[in-house]
Amino acid sequence: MPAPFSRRDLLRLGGMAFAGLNLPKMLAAASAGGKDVSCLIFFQTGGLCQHDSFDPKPEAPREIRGSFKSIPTKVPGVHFSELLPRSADMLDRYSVIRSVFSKEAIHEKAKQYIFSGQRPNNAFKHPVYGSVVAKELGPQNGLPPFVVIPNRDICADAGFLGAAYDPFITGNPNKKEFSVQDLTLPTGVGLEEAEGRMRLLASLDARIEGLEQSGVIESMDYFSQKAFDLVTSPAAKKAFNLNAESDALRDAYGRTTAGQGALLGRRLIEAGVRLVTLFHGGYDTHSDNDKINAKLYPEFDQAFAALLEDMDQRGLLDSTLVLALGEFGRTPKINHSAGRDHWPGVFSIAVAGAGVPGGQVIGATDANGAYPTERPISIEDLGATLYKKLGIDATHEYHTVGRPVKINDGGTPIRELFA
Amino acid sequence: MGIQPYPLSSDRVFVRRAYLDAIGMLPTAEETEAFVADSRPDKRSRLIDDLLDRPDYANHWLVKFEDWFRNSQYYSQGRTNGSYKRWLHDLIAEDRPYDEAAREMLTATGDTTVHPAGNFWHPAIDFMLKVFEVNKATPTVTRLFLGQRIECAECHNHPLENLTQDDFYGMAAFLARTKVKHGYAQYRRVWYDTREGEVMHPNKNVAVAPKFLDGTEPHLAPGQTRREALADWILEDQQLQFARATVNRVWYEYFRRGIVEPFDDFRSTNRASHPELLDELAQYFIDSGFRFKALHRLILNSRTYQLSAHTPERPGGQDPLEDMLFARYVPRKVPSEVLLDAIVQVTGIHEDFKNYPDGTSPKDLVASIGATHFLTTFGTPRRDVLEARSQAPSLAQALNLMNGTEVEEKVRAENNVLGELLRQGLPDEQVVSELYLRAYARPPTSEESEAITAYVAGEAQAGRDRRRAFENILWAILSSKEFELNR
Repeated sequence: MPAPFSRRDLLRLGGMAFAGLNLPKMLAAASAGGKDVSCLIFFQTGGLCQHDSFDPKPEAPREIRGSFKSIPTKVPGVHFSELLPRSADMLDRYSVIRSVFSKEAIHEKAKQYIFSGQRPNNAFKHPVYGSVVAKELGPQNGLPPFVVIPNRDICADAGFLGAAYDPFITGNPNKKEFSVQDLTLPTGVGLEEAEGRMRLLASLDARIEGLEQSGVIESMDYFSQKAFDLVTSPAAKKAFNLNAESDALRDAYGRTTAGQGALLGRRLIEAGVRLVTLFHGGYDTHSDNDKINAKLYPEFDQAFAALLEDMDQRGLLDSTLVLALGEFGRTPKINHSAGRDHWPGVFSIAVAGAGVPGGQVIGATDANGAYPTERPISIEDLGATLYKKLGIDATHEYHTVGRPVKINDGGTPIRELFA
Repeated sequence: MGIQPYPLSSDRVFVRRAYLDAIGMLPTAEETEAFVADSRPDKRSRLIDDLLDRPDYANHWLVKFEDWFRNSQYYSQGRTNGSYKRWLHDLIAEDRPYDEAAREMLTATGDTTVHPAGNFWHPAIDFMLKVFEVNKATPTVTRLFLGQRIECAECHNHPLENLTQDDFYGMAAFLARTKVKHGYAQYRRVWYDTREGEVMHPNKNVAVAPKFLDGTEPHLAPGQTRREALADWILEDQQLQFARATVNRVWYEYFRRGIVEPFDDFRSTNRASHPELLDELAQYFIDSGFRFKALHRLILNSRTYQLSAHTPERPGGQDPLEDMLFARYVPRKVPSEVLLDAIVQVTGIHEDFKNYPDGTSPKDLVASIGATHFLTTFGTPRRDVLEARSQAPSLAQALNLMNGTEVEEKVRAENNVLGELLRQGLPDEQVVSELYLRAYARPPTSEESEAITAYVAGEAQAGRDRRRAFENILWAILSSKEFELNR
């Protein structure tokens, strides 16, 4: 049989080039070994309330401060909301920024903004961080470079870079029978038979490759091999298998989407995924703020603390940038439905790993937690910081949409995060 | 440059290509053989006429029109997408003059469930705030009907072109008096024009008077709305540009590259690769009364469209310039809906869509409601942006073909094409040949036939049954590049 399915290295390199990864870059990536910095974005969909989390205002009037008390943290003089006791107790291992602001007050636009570091416009859709990382750095260890847990989000895709750089979607890891869609061979098809099928397919494909050269064909060939690698590689398979973790550790993260998602995120980063975005939903508390947050924030607290602890113990934290953030904050004043509305004026985020010093609180807000009073940090600054940590040249321009578009436009890396 | 056009495609390649491009379906084995056997010199144009008269032609192009006009659940919340889809379908099926349809969209008023053309404006509604965003609507109009991108000028003067913020807001002013009322839960929307309302210049903070992109000012007849004046200007004063933009968009669908590329980015610093061709096509479209069928017929009959995709046997193989100059047919992936229909055609097993009757084609789904994992994976867009859908290959697609249920279930189904062929007691070579004809519109080469029958023999030796071996062959055919590509 002609052209068995094997590592056709030349074709593979051709495919790589088409997928945006040139040879020198790939060699550089390989020589960096395990030192490449990865990123896990723990996203609080809907917007974390600054008052009920990292920036409580105990002195403010009742309708501002809300009903939750503040508690001391590991860092003397710094207080968090009582809803985040574990995170408070671990503040020596990460930094909090209390002075981030957005310019968008609608979820969809604010999410696109914070996922790309670029203000959304009516002209074209910017690629999000994960897609840029996928394009600039490419895959590692046979795993997709950009993974989203649990579901596809309209604001987290490759935009003008195209579907090849869209995230790989896992599904909900907190489901009882969790398995990633399309990742395992169909029932009843064993490895031997699958290899036979692939050899057969290669013999069918051999003809057209010779006859009609095109980027599409090279690219299909590349992804087909990547897919087979992913499906058959024990390492990749292992990465997605949460059952390989002890019940004790799974419990420690919490049996929630946030908890199991964070644990899956850690496994994926460990195995070679470059950027994981975990969506934890429910933060859009237009009504019943207290009731919702009393249940939701502890889920985050448990998962976030367990994640940092676990990553730290495994030595992963040094090479992983962990960001916990939402698309904006919540209104300082509680509304008539006992809720808080969208507030881009200021919000708090947590940053850990990849050389970020622990125990720092960057920036400050006014008495009502409404606007920054010190060290305002823009969304563009967050983007510049992320790209610098991941070793991506943010001044690089794409020429896809009829005008040059910089990977990051106008941001400055946050110096306090580079100790 | 010394670049020569490729030779004409073979009949087998042409028949499959024309079916996929014109009607989004594969030819049946019988249709292919009848076409190949036909010895009349004009058989290609006869086939083209036949295809353009089929209902499948409208169903296939409808999906593209829905992409262009962004008929999306995302904007219309489901209820009015059906009426818009039917309206677009009839526009194609009845071959209505496109200038007339464009005017209907541009000037649409009334309830969109009754007057579906008003759905044209839905992508400019911010569904959270329920407001009509003039700044979103303005570039939609210029891109779709004039092939001009002016959205950059919303925020800044264009650095290279003679296009300023004043130009943007002058155009936006034509939509300043366009309003929408929302009925229950936003399902019902009613468009109307008011006598007042202006757009404000963001920097100068003054009301901007309506002014066309060419610098002229409208003379509104008594009772004429600003939108009507805009429609007059686009369809009469700018008729040639309207036609150029439209034919270039259709050309892109056939060649995956506009004569102006990107196909909706006409400007002085981005010129046509073949300006005479573009203008002749545009004039032809005007002379035909803005009928799409005439344009399709012209393109499909052209030598350029019918060229081979084969890379010539010379050192260096294919020259990248050839694609730019339309010297060959560029192989491309078929759209998701067409791919799924083709899988259904080859296997003989329908795809089930929740809440739709049996036998529903993915092209019939209303505004992506019910779009499955397979369809979104292979590129069915959410239509949330003006950009053309991405038909790029991806890891998720490769994984889905390998492991997904859509292909697997149809390959394994007892009553599929294999059930039929094996029941007839055909020898291995003939079963393979039938499958090849259905999928590729050609018989296998002798090497291919030998390789596949050797596989069947190998499986038998390993103790696996014949049907299972053929299931794997069918899987490989459906996963192969030749199947996924139009070439």
